[in-house]
Formats: sequence, C-alpha cells, structure tokens
Amino acid sequence: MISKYGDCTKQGYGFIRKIYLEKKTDNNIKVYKKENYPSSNFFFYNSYKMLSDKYLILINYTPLDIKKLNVKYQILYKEKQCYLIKLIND
Amino acid sequence: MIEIFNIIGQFLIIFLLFNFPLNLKNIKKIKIFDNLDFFEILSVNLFIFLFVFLIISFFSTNYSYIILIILFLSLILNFNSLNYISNSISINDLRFIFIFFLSFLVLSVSIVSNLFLEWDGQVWINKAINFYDNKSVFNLKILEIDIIKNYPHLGSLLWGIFWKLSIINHEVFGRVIYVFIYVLSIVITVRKLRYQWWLQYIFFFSFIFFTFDLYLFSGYQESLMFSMILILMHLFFRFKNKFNNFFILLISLVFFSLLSWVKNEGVVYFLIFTALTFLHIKNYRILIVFISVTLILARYAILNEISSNEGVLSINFKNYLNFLDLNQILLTIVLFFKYLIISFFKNTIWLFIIAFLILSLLVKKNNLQVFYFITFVSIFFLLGIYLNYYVLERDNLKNEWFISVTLSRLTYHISAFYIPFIIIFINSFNKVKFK
Repeated sequence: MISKYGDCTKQGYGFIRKIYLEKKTDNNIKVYKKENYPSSNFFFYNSYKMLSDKYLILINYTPLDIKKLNVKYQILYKEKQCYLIKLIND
Repeated sequence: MIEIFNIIGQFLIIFLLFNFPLNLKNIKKIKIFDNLDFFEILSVNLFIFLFVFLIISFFSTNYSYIILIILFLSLILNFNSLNYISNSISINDLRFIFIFFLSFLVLSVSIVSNLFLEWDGQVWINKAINFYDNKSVFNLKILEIDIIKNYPHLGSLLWGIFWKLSIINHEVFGRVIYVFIYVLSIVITVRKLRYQWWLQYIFFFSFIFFTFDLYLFSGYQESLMFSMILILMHLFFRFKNKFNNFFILLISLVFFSLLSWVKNEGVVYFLIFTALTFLHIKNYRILIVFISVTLILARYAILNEISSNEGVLSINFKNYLNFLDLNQILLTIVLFFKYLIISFFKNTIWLFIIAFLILSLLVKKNNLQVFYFITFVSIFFLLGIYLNYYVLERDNLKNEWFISVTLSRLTYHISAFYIPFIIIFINSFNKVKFK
C-alpha cells in the first residue's frame, strides 16, 4: 500500500495510517496534500464519526507551505515533511 | 490463499443471490418469461436486485440483513427446485457455469492482487464507504469528505454492499461484483452464437481478451456500465417482440433507466434504449415517453436534493460564445476525430466492430437499422460530450489529456452496444434467428 500510495509522498497513506492507528484519533481528520492527488480521506474515513475542526494532516508540506495556510497552529507530530497539526483559535 | 477462498465464497454468495426471485422452475409459470435460459434468468435477477437496492439506498438500513434474507429465501427456493433444475439444466449450461466460475476467479485474483485504486476510483470509493457504513444515499449530502455529489451512486452502492459481505475487510473485495457482472454479460452474449460450443468458447475468451482492462476495474464505473449495456442489449433483442405486453415494456424501461444511476452519461444510454423501444413498437408510444421522462426527472430531482442544488445541469453559457469561433470549431472537430481514432486503438474491440460492420455492408446479410441508429446517436453523443467538456466547460485547449481519457471511456461503454451485432452477423450465416 505504501509503495502505491506513498508514505509521506503522493496520497500519504503511510503517514495517515500512523496517525489514525498510533495516535488513536476520535474523529476523522482532514488531509491536505501538496501534490495533486485525489482525496486521501478514504483510507481511514469513518462516516459514523465527525470531521474534526481542530486537527489537520499535512502531506509533503514545507514550513513555507504551512505558513501560506494562514492559520495558527501547533505541531503535534512530524515526520519528514508530513505533519499532524492542531489548529489554535484566537 | 485466504484471498482466493474469499473470492470463491463471494462467487457462491453472488451466484445464490442472483438465482432469486426467478429460477428455472418458477419461470415456467410466468408465460412472458418462458424460454429464458439459466444465464438470462441470472441477468434478469441481477437487474431486479439492482432496482430493489437502488430503492433501498434511499433509506438508511442495514444492507447486510437484507442480503441475508435474500440468501435465505434463495436457498429455500432453489433447494425446493433442485430436482427440476438439475433435470432441466443442460451439459452446455454446466460447462458454461464452470467457465464462468473459472474466468471470474482468474479475473478477480488479478484485481485483488493489484490493490491500487486509480484516480477516479479514489473518488468513487468515498461513496462506497457511505453504503459500507449502511447509510442512505441522502447521507452523502452531509458527508464531510470529497465526493462529487451530483454523480449517481449505483456502482458505489454495489461496491459498498459486497465489500461489507466479504470476510476479508478490504474494499477490493467489493469490486469483485463488477467482475461477476462483466463475465455474465460476456457469457449471455456468446451463448447466442448458434454454432458449436467450442466456437462459443473462442468468442468468449476473445471478447474477454479484447474488452477486459484491469485499469478500468480499479475503481472506475466503466466496466459496470459496459456490462450493463451489453446485458440490456441482449435483453432488448430477447424481449423486443414482447414489448406489446405492458408489463414487459414497463420493467424493460425501468431496467434501462438503471444505466442513468451508474454515471451521468448513462442518461444518454437510457435514451438510446428508450428510442430503440419507441421505434420498435407502435402501441404505448406516449406511455414510453411519459415513463422515460418521469424516470429521468425523478433521477434529477433526487440528485439535485443530494447535491444541495450545486448544479446537476450546470453549464457555463459564457463559453458558448467561444464556440462561435470558426477556428475553434475546426480545431475541435480535428481533435475529436484524432482522439476518436486513438480510442478505437485503445479499445481494440472496436477494430473488430468496424471490421464486422464493413463485412456486413459488403455481404448485406443484416438488417442494420438498429446498428445505424446507434452509430448515429453515438457520434452525436460523443461530439456533444467532447464539445461540452472541451469548449463549453474547459477553457483551456491544452487540456487534451482530459478529453482523450473521456473519449476513450465513452467508446468503451458504447462498444457494448455493437458487440451483439457481431454475433448477429455471424449467426446470419447459420440461418438461425437471434432471439
């Protein structure tokens, strides 16, 4: 799966899997990808759960790309150029 | 190895499911369905199944329970009819069931061994997840995931349901239903060849060789559309002389309309079948128009509800002005034929279709009215889609890749309209009428 969908590239399957399985999230997390690939949500999306508005998974994002998102955030987990970030409200 | 056992188990479940409500015994009691063979009964049951589950998908329910009830009823029905079925099924039927199973197994293994979902498949699966989770189609409206809401859902519904039924919890096992329907469509087509069994097998394997594309089974809906058109073409020829029976006419129109629930272009295929039916009979013509319009309007109303009026029929009228540019019209026509020819080479079955058409014209063996009609409509449909995407919706003429892919898929669907004519043409030398 990782060879096809990528770890921290392409759709970022490996990284998303790690977040869902190891970090044991309660809700679905929205995924942003730098590269132009279809949605990666389907890998672990559960339609019984809500989509979290507090967290974001970023695949293949540079710090500059994150800055362009124009949000306040805290990095919870990082691997290469993939991030799990928590959005901070003012 | 466990995957192979899972596929075999799925085959048995699907096989049992599509042997209900009609089987070889009870079909004898329904005069209008008389003389349907084993695989034709499977096909009619498949379309009944599709229609019933399309209706059920409008309500939130546990699809697995309904499948289990159907399996239970099918077991009782077929167990009671076992003696009759075993006496009435021919050696040739049994041979074909074996070939059917073997082909299903081989093709399914090739799909299961390639887990990758192609681009569109990664969009369609999001709808399948909704049905895997036993949600209704209206839940798609509030689903917080990337889906194209104004696309229909019948293919994803099947995907989700059969994924849920699989012992191994992986989406790829939901897609084996597409293989089953695909193989079934080829089987019922070649079985109409009025020649020795070995020639039927040669055509069976040839059609699979020239129409099976692993890429299109990687989450796309094209294989399902192709298979459904092929089966419906067969049923059209089978029932066309019975369209004067209102019941047959009604269920035929309902079956044809199911195409429009697979992909948006299915609406055009539905209209082609409706027009063929309209031209074939003299009675009930107003009724055909009324039923067809009602079915299409109902479809648009439901999809509009799901897509929250995001525009099921959205067209950028500003771009029509570009269309008035003569250079652009010429360029578009040139590119259209360029990609049309390329798509014929991509879908090699077209080379056979064209060869048979030329041969057919030379020897003048056939009444080709239906053939000409489909050709005429298809060219305009392809041109319309092409212009719509390329000129009306796509400003960027550099986007050739997009339209080349679109044309390739459309010609794949449309080839299913023509394949039965190859059989008709060959049968014409045997002086046995294609039923």
